[in-house]
Amino acid sequence: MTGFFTSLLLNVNSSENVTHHAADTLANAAEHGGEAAAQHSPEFPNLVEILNHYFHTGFTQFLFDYRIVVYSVVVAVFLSLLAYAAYRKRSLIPGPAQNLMEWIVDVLSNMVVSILGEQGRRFVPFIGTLFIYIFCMNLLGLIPGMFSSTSKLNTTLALAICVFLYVQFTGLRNFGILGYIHHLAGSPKSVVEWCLVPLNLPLHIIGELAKPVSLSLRLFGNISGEDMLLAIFATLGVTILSFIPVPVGLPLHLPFIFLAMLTSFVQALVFSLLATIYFSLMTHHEEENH
Amino acid sequence: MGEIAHSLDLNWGLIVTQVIGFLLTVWILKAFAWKPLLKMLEDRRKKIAGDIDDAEKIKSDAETLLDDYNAKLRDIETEARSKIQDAVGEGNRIATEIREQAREEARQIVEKSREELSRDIAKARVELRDEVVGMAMTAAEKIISTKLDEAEQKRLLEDFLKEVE
Repeated sequence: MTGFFTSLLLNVNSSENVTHHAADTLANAAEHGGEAAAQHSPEFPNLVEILNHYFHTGFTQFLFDYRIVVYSVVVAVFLSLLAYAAYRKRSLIPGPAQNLMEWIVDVLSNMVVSILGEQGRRFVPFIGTLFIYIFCMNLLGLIPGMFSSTSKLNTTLALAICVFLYVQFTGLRNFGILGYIHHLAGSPKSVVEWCLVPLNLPLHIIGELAKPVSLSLRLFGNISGEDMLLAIFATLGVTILSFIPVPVGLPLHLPFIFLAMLTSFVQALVFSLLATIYFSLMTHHEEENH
Repeated sequence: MGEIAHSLDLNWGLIVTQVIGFLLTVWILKAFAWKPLLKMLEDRRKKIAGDIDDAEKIKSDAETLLDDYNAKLRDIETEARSKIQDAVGEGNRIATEIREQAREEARQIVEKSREELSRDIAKARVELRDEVVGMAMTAAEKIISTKLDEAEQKRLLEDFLKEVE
């Protein structure tokens, strides 16, 4: 018994080191990131890993190294096919696929428009796609043989950088270059405010730079934590039944699958809602601050 | 690097456990979450279909109403036209009547004056005859009282005739 608890504790310890991993992963992002995470964090084996294990070639190793990209592509292809299925046979009274997609688009569009107002409708495709894409990537990790790309900082940071760049671009387009700098300087009006610019400008720049970092770390931390939790409890289940010579375990992680589904939804929602709020800060600056 | 990945212990127990967990999740979702989700989508579909049907119905109702009104307008126009025609006919009839009446009255007036005229003529004729008789008597008296020679007689007659004329 103590055996599994030690392993469990070890696992928990390693899951506490998430941020440490994040730093590691960031540092070795290009080549070592994948392996670093694979070695330290417990996770369910995925198809690419199995493939690489049995048919170890350069190509499978390449696929394994870039498995976050492989599984992102899986999600992208799945969503594209779904969108195509919904789009292909459009009718006024929607069929099942069209109905589902219309409902999702309707809900997301209402969410974005309720925050950004009617002129925010142009951000619906970006934010909506962000939500659906992240939600599907989060959920993909719950399917055997699949893997959540969002449980690696590389994916979440890439998404957050996309949001960051688009937000800054929106700010530049809305305020102009001088207006954008003025906005970064805290929109000074009085003499006192102008005197505070040397303090405000770096603060705002740091604030803007912190946004993608917080976005990416939050999503990565939650999803990798969720996947680790599942793997740890499944490992515990396997360990309990380790006296049976068959590779089988008690599905102790079952309750946490539902928790993971909730986290997947909430994190996708939080990511897209925060992106929406960042857009709103860059579009209604005057009304918000004064 | 390859060695590291290769040496990773592939835990089949974990995979099998994950599959079991996944199947259980699918079963639980199918039992509890699938029906409400499908129902919600079906409700949405029904609502859309119902809304479209309602819209169609309202549209067709409005069209029927418009047709009705147009037909009614046409009826009213026809009626108005026929009424005007009736009035015109009536007017014409009255005008003819009045004209006829006037003509009749004029005829009667002419008739009456003609009768009066002929009566006057007859009266005048009677008066003339009486006068002629009276004159003749006077002339005869004169003839008798004077000496009757031929020349005198002739002159007297001529005077008398002149008087008559």
